[in-house]
Amino acid sequence: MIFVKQSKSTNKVLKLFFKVIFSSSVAVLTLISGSAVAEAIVNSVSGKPQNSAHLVVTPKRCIALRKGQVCYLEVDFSWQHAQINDYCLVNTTTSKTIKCWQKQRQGEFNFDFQSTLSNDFALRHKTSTKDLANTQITVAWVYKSSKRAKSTWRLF
Amino acid sequence: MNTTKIIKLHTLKLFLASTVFSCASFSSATLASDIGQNLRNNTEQGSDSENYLELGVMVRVRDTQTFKSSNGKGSYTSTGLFINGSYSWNNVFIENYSESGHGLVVGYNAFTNDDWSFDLMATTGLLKVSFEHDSLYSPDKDELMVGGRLSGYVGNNIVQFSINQDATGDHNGTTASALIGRNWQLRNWNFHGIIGAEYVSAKLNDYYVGVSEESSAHLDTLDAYKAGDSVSFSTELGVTYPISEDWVFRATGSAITIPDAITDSPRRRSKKSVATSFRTSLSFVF
Repeated sequence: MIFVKQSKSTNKVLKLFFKVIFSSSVAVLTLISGSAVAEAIVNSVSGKPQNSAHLVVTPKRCIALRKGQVCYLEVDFSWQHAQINDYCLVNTTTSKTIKCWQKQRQGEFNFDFQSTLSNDFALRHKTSTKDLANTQITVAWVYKSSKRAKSTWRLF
Repeated sequence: MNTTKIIKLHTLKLFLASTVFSCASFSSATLASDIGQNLRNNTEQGSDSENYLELGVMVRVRDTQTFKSSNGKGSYTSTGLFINGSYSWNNVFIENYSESGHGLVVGYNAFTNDDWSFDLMATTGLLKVSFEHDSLYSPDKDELMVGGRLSGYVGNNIVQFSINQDATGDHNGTTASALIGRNWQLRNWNFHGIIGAEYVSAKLNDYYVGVSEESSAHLDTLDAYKAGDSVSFSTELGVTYPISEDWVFRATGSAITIPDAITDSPRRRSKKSVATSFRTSLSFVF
């Protein structure tokens, strides 16, 4: 009986112990998951301006007849951002601002591209040099000297 | 059996030609090239011509004279395939431009500086694409001319002087030509224009369109005729457009006067004094 009593009391102790452990685990897990969720929210909020900026140009490829020629291409830029603000479209290759918008969250712009080389473009805050989104217009040629530079064949 | 042999022979020729130009497409710089090619490809002053290979399909509309020996029409439309390409190694070059009016050229660049270049070369009829120039003469003759050409950049123009002498021994004729041309870029469209004059010696003219006393005696329908030397004038206007990195569109219109030395020949069927042509093509550049 004593054994039984002791056993019952031991069981209670064990049950209590497991309850404490279980509760603690749940609490810890809850805290962890909660902090994870909170952290995700924080990341989402803090990362939102970068991930939600889009800059698209169409078409993206300009073809000239020969390397060194100026390539002409009429393109359409389209951008959007999650927040209304002052933004600028910048040619980062030439460091020239193409167009700026005030208190906008999206915009479109028709641009007459003229260059001998590929150019990079970025969407930036009007007062910042940090790129929010990037795109590129590639210049390619039909007759290009790189073809012979890669040569290993010889006729003679 | 004979048909099979002919097909095999043509296949072998095509394979050899393809092999040569496939090799040619992997190479070093050409120092000079045909003026027309420089203009069509908008080669910049002082830059090297590129070694490359391109295969194309073309449609031609031609209005020219005809000879009594052939039953061809003076005005007709035709389609065909062509190969353009160039390759050079240590100043030795090989090139074939179907628009040039002659065949495969093998040469040596003897001199070049920023503005001028001089080539020694041999011009053959191999891979030649019939255009308006060869319609002056019977197309079934073997051709091998040796000579030189001087190309120069004068302002925005390209000039080219060339002189060639027959090397087959068939007629020992001589040709000399002077061409001037320039190109303009309008957006990605590349326009070019060429005008020129060509002298052809009496020996060459007489070989192609002359009628000897013996021939005249044999052929009652032809009077004896001895052709003299001649000068003809030509002009060409064209446009080249890069469709993609690999595909090029071209359209070219040209005209050349037919000199009296040719028009007076009793071998001629029609009496046109100007041959005109228009050619449009689509090329794949390897």
